[in-house]
Amino acid sequence: MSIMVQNLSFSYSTDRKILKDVSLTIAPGEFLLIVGRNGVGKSTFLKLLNGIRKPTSGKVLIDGMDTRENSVASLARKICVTFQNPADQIFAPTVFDEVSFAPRNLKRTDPESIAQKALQLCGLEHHKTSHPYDLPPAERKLLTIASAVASDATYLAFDEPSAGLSSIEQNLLEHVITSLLAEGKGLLVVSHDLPFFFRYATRVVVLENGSLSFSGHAEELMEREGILRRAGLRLPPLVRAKRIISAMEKKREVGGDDVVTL
Amino acid sequence: MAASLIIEHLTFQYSDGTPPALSDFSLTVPTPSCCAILGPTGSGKTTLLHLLVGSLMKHHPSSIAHGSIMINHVRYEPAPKEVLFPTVGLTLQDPYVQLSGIRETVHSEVALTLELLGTEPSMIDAQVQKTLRELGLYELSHRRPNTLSGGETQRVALATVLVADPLLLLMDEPATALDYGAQAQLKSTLRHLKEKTTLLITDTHIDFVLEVADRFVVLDKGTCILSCSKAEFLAHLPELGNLLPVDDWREVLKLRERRSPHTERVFKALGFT
Repeated sequence: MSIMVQNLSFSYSTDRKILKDVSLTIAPGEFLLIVGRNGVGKSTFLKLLNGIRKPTSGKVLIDGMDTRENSVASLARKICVTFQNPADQIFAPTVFDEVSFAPRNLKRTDPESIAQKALQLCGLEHHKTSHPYDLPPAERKLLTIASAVASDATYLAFDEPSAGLSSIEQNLLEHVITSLLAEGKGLLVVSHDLPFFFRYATRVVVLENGSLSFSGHAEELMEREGILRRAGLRLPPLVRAKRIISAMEKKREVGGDDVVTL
Repeated sequence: MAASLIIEHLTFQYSDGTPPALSDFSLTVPTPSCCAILGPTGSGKTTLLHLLVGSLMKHHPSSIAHGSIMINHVRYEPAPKEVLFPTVGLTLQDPYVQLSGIRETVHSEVALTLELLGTEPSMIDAQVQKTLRELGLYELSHRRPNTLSGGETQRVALATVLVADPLLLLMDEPATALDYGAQAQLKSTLRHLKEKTTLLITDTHIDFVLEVADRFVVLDKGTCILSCSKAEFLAHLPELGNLLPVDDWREVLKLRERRSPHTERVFKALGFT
């Protein structure tokens, strides 16, 4: 039981290779954070996992199901991906219809109560009868996450889930993540928000020029300043403050007094 | 010359009977400056920006509004009823909505703004190129807009507004999908821009605005609960935990309390100038 990405390469056109020979595995209960600069291919990578895009070479196996040989619909029982822009996926006339679509379509037992639970988890039950486009953007984002939760797929992949969320929705998102991990779901998140996600990620991979330039724990990544910079990441404020203070103390010991910047 | 902005006792209520989105809101933004509008979802940030640009009263003429807005010495009561672009520019929270979708390249998408404004055709190319360079988008000039990533789309959407040189620029969550390199570039663009344009920026994360804004306004349920300088904002920051994601910053500020000869320099390095 795992997602196995083996020597995956992908290009949209012959002149631009997006992914080159990427290999990794994700098991249920793991939280994989995928980071990298704007335009590096993070979102494309998620689309290759649920079969919307097919590998140019190499393969992706979702619990043994090859994405080249299985339809997006049959893979949907195993993996659910949310898009960065909620408008790309929302289509139902009410919030409840939107969230109950996946469990109904995937023939889960008691889809209504699954949808209800997902709405509750994401703090949206009071919006049940609202039109999705009457929700503020942050709650629309939570709606896409609720729909993924309701699919009850083994692996859930979210594209920039914390972008545009204020503190109230961020607290909800934290709660959603910890609940899903406790249930043993495999989570994949694409984000620039290292300060938010580093606490939960069991592993972080950095996508750089189409390949993985780093794979390991967030703490380890935070020591690799070159990779952080190239990946367009910034340390959480508190980590940054402590580093600056200790760097300045060291400089003072050796007699220098320049301001250190990170 | 940056536009002055004076908002006096502005109240706005949508016609659907929901409570006022803004209540008795007053704000004077000195020029040149950059003002951050902060607050949780539903606090009225986006409503305020759409009122200022004129799109809200234009599209919701039956809503209830009082007070006044003065932009560049022109007084609107209660708010502009026509879109004031290019005097006022607005970048939307959802950048995909901002792009026309009818142009083949990033360059011609950005040029479309100037074409629609009736700019002399011979001037357009140079102006578009300048804006694309400023935003680090020059290498994307020939890309199709619908092949851009989320972060790239956000920057191109900003370019379509900036190219018209607005005097008052309103930005709704401009940094959400940007990696740190792109954020740093945007920050430096905004720091330059601040000299000639008045900036109002909403943000749910405060990291970005802490480094560019010099005025801070915090809204909660349509009411202004704080309007102050950066120093005052930092002093109030520990109390704002229920409205803004400040936990990490609160810990940072605790470090500041342990005063050492170098503390202030550390905070300068962190952007607390």
